[in-house]
Amino acid sequence: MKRQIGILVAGTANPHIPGYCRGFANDPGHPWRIIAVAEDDPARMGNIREILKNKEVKYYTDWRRMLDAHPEADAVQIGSDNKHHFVMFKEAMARGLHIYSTKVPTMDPEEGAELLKLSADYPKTIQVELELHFSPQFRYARELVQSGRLGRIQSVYLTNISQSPCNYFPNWGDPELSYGRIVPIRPDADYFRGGALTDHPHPFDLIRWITGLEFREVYGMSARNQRRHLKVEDHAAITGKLDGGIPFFINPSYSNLEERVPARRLLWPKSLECNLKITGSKGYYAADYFDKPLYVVGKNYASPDRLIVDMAPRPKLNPDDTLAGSFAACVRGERKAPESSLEDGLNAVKVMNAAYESIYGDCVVRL
Amino acid sequence: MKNVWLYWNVFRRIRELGRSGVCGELCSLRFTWQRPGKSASAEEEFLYGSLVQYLCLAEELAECKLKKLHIVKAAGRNSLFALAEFENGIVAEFEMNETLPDSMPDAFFIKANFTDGHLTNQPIAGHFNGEGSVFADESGLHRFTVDSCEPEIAGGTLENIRTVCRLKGAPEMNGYERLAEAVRKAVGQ
Repeated sequence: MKRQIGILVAGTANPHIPGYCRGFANDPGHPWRIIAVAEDDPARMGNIREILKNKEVKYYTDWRRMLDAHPEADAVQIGSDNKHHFVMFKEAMARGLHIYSTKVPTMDPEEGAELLKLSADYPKTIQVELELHFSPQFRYARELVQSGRLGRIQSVYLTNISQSPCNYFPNWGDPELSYGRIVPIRPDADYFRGGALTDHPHPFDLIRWITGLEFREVYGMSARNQRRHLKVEDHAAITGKLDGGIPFFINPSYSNLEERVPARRLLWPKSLECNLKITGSKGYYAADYFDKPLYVVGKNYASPDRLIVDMAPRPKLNPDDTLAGSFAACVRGERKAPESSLEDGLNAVKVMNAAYESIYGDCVVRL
Repeated sequence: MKNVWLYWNVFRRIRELGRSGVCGELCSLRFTWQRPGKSASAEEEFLYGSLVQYLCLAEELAECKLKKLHIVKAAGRNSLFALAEFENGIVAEFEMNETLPDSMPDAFFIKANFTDGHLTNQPIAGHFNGEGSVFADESGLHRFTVDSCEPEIAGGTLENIRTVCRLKGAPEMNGYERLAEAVRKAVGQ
């Protein structure tokens, strides 16, 4: 078995963090060894302690003290609310750690520019969690484009629609924690940036990654919230043009309803609608994230007594070909560059902010 | 102008259920219109027939007049995306594409998202409510599942399983003799 890399988890506010901890807890061959976790919210910390109860992990309420206490760690996973990522990045770089950031490095363009500058000659790995690169059906899309089998790209459609996690991760519905500052979605709106669009960078990254094309023009709209109590947007729809005037459509909303309980219980049967459609001059390719559906109805299932679309697992052929595994491979020096870099993450954020500006100003934003 | 789509049963049922309040208040809509190139209309008909008729359906469901419309259209082709906002804040999204390969069928969907529910005829999983991805070109329509980031594993269920077994070694099964004997007895051999 390859060497596990030692990870410090700085913050568990991101809804993905429990999944990483479960992975480590349940898989003896996991590429990471979680040395310590820092979290100042008692409920979130309690949840993580329960997940990791059979593992030897240290716990801290102060992430800086955790970094001080574990100079032996290889890397830090930045899993806090987005607002705190910038200071954590800088601290981690000052300490020479490899860095694994949850999917939004920062929504602030100035912070993003400074991070890019700081990371330019940084000798350690910085990976941003853009996990759809590891979905084989989206990799195949990229191969089809690169091989020319689709011909010239003529249009791209990509949805990344989920339920809202704000019932069970209430911090995720706080506009300042999510977006970094409070900005109304429109001048007359009583809700703010930091919702579904901030939570779903994947389509803005995937389109660039699959097609090799950049976003040039963006126009967005945001419908009235399905969840009237939510202080951040739960809908956005964006269209515009890529290089060469190629039309694209992205919907990164929280349009799939969930039960209004403090647990992840779905109403719409599918947790994620991630549908890609690429039309080219020679062919057409369509892929769904849930491309191996398994339908579940279970009294004791996470969403009890409902028809839910789950997913049949894929065979694991190469453990390095996963989010955690590829990062570990970079840290061990076996892989030259991370699958998704800081620059990739910030390029997605640039387009997301353009979409927000477009919604706010009801105008086309050019990039 | 006539609008045949007002007779579309999916639309009529969504309108009926929407008006009944079973799903709460309407917030957003998505319309899908996909046709192979062989069925494409002239551009004039595409824009001022099909799109306008679809917009009409959206207004019916929104129960409100159109306030603004933004269209991004591929130059010289019947392919566009559009966003429409209505005076009550409902937003409708339109994907209209008549440039699909001739091996693809038509697809017309509506998804309506409400405060307390959804109404839609859009497939839940995949393009055709089935497993796998879809690739279509003039040679035909191909459906396959892509597995595990190995480029050679892009096939049907059986083909993918056999490939994995070639790469990892097929797993042993327990109780072959016993089960085979049960089969022999059952078929009377």
